[in-house]
Amino acid sequence: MNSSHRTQSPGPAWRTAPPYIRAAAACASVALAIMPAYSAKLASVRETNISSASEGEAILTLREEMAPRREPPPAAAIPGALARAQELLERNPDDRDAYLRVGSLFLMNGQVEEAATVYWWAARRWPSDPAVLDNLGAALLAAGDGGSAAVLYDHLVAEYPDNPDYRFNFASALYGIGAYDAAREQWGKLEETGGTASRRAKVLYNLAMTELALGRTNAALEYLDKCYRVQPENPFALWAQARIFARQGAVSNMVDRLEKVKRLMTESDFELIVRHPAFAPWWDEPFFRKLRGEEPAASGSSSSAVKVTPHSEGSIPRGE
Amino acid sequence: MSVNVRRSGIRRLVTTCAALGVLLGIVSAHGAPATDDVAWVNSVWVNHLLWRAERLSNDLIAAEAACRQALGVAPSSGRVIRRLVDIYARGGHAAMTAMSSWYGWNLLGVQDLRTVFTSLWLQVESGAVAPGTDDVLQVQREEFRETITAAREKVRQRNLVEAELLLRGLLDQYPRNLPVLLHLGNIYVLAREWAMATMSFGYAARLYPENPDIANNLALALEQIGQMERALQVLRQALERYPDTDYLLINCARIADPRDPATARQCYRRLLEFWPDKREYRLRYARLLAREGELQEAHRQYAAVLQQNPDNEDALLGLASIAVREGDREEARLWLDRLSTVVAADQWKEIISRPEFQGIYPAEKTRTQHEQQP
Repeated sequence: MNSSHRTQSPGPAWRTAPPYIRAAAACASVALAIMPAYSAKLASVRETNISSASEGEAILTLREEMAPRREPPPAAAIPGALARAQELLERNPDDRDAYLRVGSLFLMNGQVEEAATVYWWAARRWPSDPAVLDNLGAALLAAGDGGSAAVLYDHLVAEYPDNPDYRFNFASALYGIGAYDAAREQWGKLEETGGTASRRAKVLYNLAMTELALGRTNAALEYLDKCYRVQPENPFALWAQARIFARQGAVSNMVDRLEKVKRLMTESDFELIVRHPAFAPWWDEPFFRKLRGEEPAASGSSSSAVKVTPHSEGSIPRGE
Repeated sequence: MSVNVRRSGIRRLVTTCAALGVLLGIVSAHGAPATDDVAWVNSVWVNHLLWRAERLSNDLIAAEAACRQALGVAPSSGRVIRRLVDIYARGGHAAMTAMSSWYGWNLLGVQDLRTVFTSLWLQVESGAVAPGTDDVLQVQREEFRETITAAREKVRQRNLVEAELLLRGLLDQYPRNLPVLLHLGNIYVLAREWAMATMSFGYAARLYPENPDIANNLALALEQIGQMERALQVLRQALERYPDTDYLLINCARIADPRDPATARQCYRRLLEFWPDKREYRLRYARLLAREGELQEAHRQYAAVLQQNPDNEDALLGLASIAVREGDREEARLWLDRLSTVVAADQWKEIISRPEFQGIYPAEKTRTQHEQQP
């Protein structure tokens, strides 16, 4: 993997976003659940992609260990840098690193398709270079084209079966196209390989999300438990469990997880994530009322008074 | 990946099936990719462009751009052509739909595209879609002329995108108009969009089969997308009608040279009848004859070149090669000696080190011989 060409994380612009955008960001975090554990490139690529849509950064910034933050260059400087890099490309057509730099600059500018095009040019010149193919695959993933990315990573995994980054991105691509069983298989192989706590936590988290997509809620909850044990300071496993319990109508479990999440997050971040639609049916629960600074509800307006049928296990939206 | 897709189970299923179908399609089409297989990388890219076209299906211009990029990579891809036909049909562009379906039918020979083309062609030919050149009313002539002029000006400014837009607008109104079709085709040539150029010229050739310019342009565009046999076929047909058209002969000879010696020979002969002093054609003809084993006639052609230019390197080298093949190494040496006086030292060294000339000069002599050169 060629970390030198990876994009940098966007700045904390999300904090100035209006509440509805921040709420959307909380929702988007569900989609971001399947994110590369130790491929800093892909993580930052996704950040770039999502930041261009003005959502999603809020959650990513909470996971600093997953996507180490670096300050991006000033936005105004990027077009000039792009032009210079393009000039460089034309002058040195055999300079592989120049292609990768141009692609990276495009990504930083939020131009995912342009980045993918540059990486494709590079891939045509160096079709056996894994770093080039990896960058192309990551750009395709960032663009949302899991199908094409899956084909690329299938090849890379076959060629380099011991490279966990390629396998991780392959699994992400498979998940992206809804090939959950195949993704589950790849996550499973990654689970066996171990690695750092952060890496294992992400694999376990993604396994949980894949199990959830396959409709196996109990397995998902178990993986989230494991994820929490591996990285107890990471609130996302607990938050995901809280969402599952919310949909199951297991209010006390939901509140228990949210209490734990609250202890691991800043107040403002916590306020953001509890706006997830999964919690909406329980908005009149004492826990949420207290959070909003309202008076405790009168007797009779407890959870039983909420006129929402709790979701059964089978009704949990696929792909959460 | 998208939140929306995740929230929609049915859409997710459809997306999954489509994506897996694509995956299977690529794997079955190319098998396990070789490490250096650029074609495989290209197929992934075409797949991505088609995905982009699908995603942008509500934005026909963007979807068309993605498809045209894909066509540039895979000009014979049925998936790409069908997508493009669909985009043009949805945009209500009868002529472009006819063009693209003609292109697909011609290249792939598939029934569905043939059906699209023939149904549209009846309308185009009958004038039901829109009038042709002759039907441009007097009141419209000025506007038509102004648009064509504006498009030409845009081309001059290398603003091909706007030029194409202007011409496409005219084509929607006048789908049988020859100048519009020729300008459009030329824009695609300038943009190096050979598949689009093939479409444009192919459609024009269908409307005006007697026009040698269109046939020539069509053949060149077909050549650029790797359809050599089809290009030759177009040129042969045009030459039947216009046997003395020089540019048709030149292009036909060039394309036929490596793959259809009989046709190439006919073309070279005809060209040399027109321009007996054209050295380039005679040398090509001589090389073709030598390659075909007609050494005597090849010798005659090389000798004719030397009559014009006694120091012609290609002719001297060709004659040396013929002498070697005829087993006359002494004669070969004579030609090589002459050659040594006209080529640079490095070049001569490279020539005599070729397997066919091995042993003609002993190693020491080779060095001495060349040292004697002025």
